[in-house]
Amino acid sequence: MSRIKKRVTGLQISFMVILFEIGSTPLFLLGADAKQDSWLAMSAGAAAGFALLLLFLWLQQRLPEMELPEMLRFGFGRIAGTFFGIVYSCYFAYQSMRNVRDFGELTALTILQSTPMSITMLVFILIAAYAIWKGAEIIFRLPEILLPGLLFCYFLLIILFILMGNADIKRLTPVAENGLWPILQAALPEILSFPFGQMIVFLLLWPLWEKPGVPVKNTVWAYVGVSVFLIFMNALNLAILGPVLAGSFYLPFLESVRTLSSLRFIERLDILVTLMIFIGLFIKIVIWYYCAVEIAASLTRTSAKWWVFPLGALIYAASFIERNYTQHIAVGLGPSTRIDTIFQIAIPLILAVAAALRLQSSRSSA
Amino acid sequence: MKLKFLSNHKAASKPETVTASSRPLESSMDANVAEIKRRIGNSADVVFRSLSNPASGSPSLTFIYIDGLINADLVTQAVIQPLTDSQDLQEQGMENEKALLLIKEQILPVGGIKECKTVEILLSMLFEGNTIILLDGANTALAANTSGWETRSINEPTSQGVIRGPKEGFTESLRTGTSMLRRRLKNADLRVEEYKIGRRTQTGIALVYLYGIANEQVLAEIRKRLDAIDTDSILESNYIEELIEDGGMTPFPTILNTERPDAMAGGILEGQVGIIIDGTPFALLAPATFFSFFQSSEDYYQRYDISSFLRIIRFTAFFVSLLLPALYIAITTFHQEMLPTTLLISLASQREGIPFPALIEALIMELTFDVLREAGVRMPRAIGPAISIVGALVLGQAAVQAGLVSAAMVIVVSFTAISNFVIPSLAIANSIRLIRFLMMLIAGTMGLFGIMSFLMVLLIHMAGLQSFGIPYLSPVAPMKPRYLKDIILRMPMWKMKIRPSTYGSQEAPRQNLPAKEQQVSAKQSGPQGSENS
Repeated sequence: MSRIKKRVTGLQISFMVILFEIGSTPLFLLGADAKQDSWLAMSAGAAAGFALLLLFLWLQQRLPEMELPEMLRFGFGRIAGTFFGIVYSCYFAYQSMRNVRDFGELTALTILQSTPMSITMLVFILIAAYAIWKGAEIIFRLPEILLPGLLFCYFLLIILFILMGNADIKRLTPVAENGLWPILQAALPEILSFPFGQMIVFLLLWPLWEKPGVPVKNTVWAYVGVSVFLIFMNALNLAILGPVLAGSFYLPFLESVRTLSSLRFIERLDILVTLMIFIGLFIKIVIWYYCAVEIAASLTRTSAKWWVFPLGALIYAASFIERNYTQHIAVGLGPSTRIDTIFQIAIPLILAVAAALRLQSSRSSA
Repeated sequence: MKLKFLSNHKAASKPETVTASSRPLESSMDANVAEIKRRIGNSADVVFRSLSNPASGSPSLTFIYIDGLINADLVTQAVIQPLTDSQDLQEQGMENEKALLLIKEQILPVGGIKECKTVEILLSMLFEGNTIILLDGANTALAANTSGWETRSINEPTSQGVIRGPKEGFTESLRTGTSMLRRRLKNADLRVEEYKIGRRTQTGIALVYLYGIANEQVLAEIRKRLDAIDTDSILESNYIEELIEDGGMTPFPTILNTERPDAMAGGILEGQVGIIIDGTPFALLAPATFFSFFQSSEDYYQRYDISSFLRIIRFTAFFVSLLLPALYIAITTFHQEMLPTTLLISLASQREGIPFPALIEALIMELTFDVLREAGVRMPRAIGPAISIVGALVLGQAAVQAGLVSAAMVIVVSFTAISNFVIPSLAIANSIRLIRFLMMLIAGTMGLFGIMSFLMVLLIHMAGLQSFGIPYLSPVAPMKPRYLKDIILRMPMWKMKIRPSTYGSQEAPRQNLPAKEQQVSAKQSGPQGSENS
């Protein structure tokens, strides 16, 4: 569409895939139900996510130059497509809001205990709004600075873990003690929907690529790379804390880092972890928020700038709905995953079938 | 947006008319002299000298020049003497047009002679140091280039010194500047375009670039913005810098300034456009990226390993200068648990008797340092040592002993201040000086969270900046992996095989290695080896 300025390089897409997928993922122990096999659950989730990614790539390739709202209209017709577009916009805003709330809670937990969450979240939303106001071209430049910094932090921590001998690979045994079933159960749909299924946002980002077509190579390589990294981080967390401890902490990675207290230089590396949370969550918020704004702008055929502040206000307001952290987590683990399944898997599948049928019929009629 | 900025500027002031409509010269010499005198007024430095010898039959002449702008010997020997001695002119009681041609073509032995048909051209030639020759009966005047005025000799640059490397810096003279570049770039592609900007100052400005290397769009944009300048005066390169830089409010400089001809030659070779301004030794280089402010010409005069190390030191110093006081405030105010216990106890005992919160303490010390620094620039050289004693002893040691500030704070502030001078470009060092205060205020209210948020805002801001169409953070964002060899690290010369097109120029091989070495390096670098061909 002519509305989209295509100014994003393939490398920027790769960086964005990596940074978006990392997000805040390594901080949590995903698949904790699988105990010492959670890294296997992670692998299963990544593999399932890869299949889903191929579906998204297929969709984008079949409907080139189309963003998600246009695809929905193409697949479901004008009225139903618009309706689904609105729903998707709300869904993306909801995801953004979850990250905002995550961030607010984590800040209150780690660095600013006495500052009201309303202020930190407001600051966060305003920065995200500023980035979106500047446009997609600018947003895609951010990972090029942030990702090397983030990876440097992870690299530093990994080196420290290994040097200090905190990680013990024996904690990962016995492998697949109870067979494969518990592993798959832990992986599907939770790990699939967070973080791997979230690749759905790229249905709005791929069309920004400067070249015609879909940056398949860039996306796939970045996805494979980041999957390996996330599985490794999961295993590392387990190897440091052991399945029981890792499963019982809310932020196992923070606890892992706190085991590095014998450094004698900086007593606590919490600041590093907070910085990593900040970067990861920020890019997630920005992308979800951007997608919500983009759909709204596309549906109303207006400039995205019209929607930055209304949707920002909406996300900010929505982040207060949950009464406390416990509820936030409960919603995140319960209803949220079901919603994710609908939006990340069910609708795209139906859309793919509908699009295939439409393409078939248009080809046969032509 | 950038053009809006210029047009705003244009609309803001109605151009005053300095020059009246052009007035042709008359054929009567006396009338011309009277008109010129009316225009210039009774200025003491303008010399009128008439020669008339009715007996010899030669036409009467008037010389006009400005004392101090001409080379007196040259005027006497090459203009006045030949004209008074000339037999040809005395013998023939010739008509004036012919006499004029004779003077121009044969008699005067000076290099540049131009004809002036109007009073305005005549005056502008006069102010450039020409000697004007008015001939009675001719409605054309001759301007002989006899300019020669006192100039500063070429000195070592004062603000951008190096240990190894050329020691000469630009001077206030435009011509010296262009000649220094010519001497470095003996290439037909080096182009020098001259402009006169400033209604009252008529400042000479030279656009210097390598034809075929500098990006045509960037050049066109610079020319357009220079042409759009309508101001009464240009006294220093910052006038030009502010008038042509990309619009928008930003604390970051988007044009580089340099005193060093070698740095400018290096920039021009990479496709930047140099702008030399008459009257100042500081020349401009555009477009400039954020990272170009951290490159010093000395990086290429030393071995690559030490240069890379110094680059890293500079970037570290940049962050120290930007963040150290803010981090100190944030950690001592909000996040004490992050410090090792012994350090924490030591800090706490130092701060025990201090009456101010850390933020106020830091602000006081930072402001004090800025006062000292400004005093250091302004004060007469003779009392320099006195200021250092006052600064070091009274404000440092005594303030700590009196319990007004903590010793740790003095260390933080002085280290910050010293770090600020590590950055090779004063322009970007100054911009962080201001941002630092904002950073401290934010750190004092929101701690580390505030610092991170503000850094993110700065990053978004910088990612959106442009310098003449070139993204400010290139070649990192948008990233061109092949051009990263000269950003954080300075790779060895033989590794930097291509000239990066960061400034919009065409990518081209920079050096061709001897065949044997080429093979080896091609083998090592694999697919990238093809860059070299």
